[in-house]
Amino acid sequence: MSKTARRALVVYAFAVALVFTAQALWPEAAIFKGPAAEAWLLRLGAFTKLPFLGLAWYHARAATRALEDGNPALTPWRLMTLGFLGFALGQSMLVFYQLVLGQSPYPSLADIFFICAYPLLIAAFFGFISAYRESGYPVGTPREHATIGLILAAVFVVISFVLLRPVLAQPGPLLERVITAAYPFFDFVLLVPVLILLRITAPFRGGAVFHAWALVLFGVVALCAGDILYAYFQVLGRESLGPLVDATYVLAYLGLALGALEQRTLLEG
Amino acid sequence: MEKGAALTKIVTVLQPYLGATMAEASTRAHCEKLGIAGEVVSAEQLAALLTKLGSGLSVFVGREQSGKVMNEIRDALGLGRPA
Repeated sequence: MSKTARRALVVYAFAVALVFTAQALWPEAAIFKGPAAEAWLLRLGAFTKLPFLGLAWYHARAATRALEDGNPALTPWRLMTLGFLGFALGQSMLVFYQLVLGQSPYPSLADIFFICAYPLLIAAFFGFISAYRESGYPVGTPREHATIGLILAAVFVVISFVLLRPVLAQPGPLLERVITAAYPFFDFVLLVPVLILLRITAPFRGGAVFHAWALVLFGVVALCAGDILYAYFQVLGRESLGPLVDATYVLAYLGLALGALEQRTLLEG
Repeated sequence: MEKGAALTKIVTVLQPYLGATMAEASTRAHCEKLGIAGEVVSAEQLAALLTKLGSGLSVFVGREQSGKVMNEIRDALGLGRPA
């Protein structure tokens, strides 16, 4: 993909994110009111998120294929590719429900794909930490990484308790509450290896390795932020702020797509 | 070969991939591990250093790309490429 095409993707994603942000801030504006507005906003979100997730999976798969057998990063790459596939399939299901059947059931089959993707990504990111330590480069010791991980885990346990207790205590079907809580729970677990990886890749600043990882990690952090915001808005009863979650997801999937593309470029030369 | 000049050439080639900090830190760390000290470095020591740097780099960029980068370093240092 040319630099111009990449820039166009970034501009497009930020423009879409701005539209959703504007919808959250000024929901009464004429452009955002009525069934027609609802329909075009649904399509805008669907046809932005799905292609970005498709691109993330496609480039991650190509990057995985560029790695030789025996490379310690190969298994993490395979797991990350499968995780992206899970997200892409989940989003496809969601698009089918919304645009073909004209409904947005929650929870739905789409959630099975989304939820299954998280353990794959968690395993992938822990795998990358281990693989990068095997490189012999000064990326930190297991003890340092364990210390960072334990501190982060302690912080996230406290935040999870504060955030997830009201989610589970809300009225409504148990399955719905459990799934709403499951996303932020998996996000907090995912953030532990992601933040350790951020620590590992920080000394690579200025290099292509950092550039590629920074985009992937931005995508994952934005994804976690989107899930956590969604649960938080549910607790607050501020569903009207939902478009902010859409804006966050659009930027998250852009990060994943561009990050996977940069990794592929790095591996293929 | 003068060690400082050789390491500068290695770091210069690695920098676009690893960034300045990691390129320097990894080269220095591997020199220490291999016991490369003093002002002069032999061709054998450089070959050992490149093997270590190359195998580490392959985790990040794959064996093929890593091989290309190591060959670029060999050219910069005036060393022969492996058969």
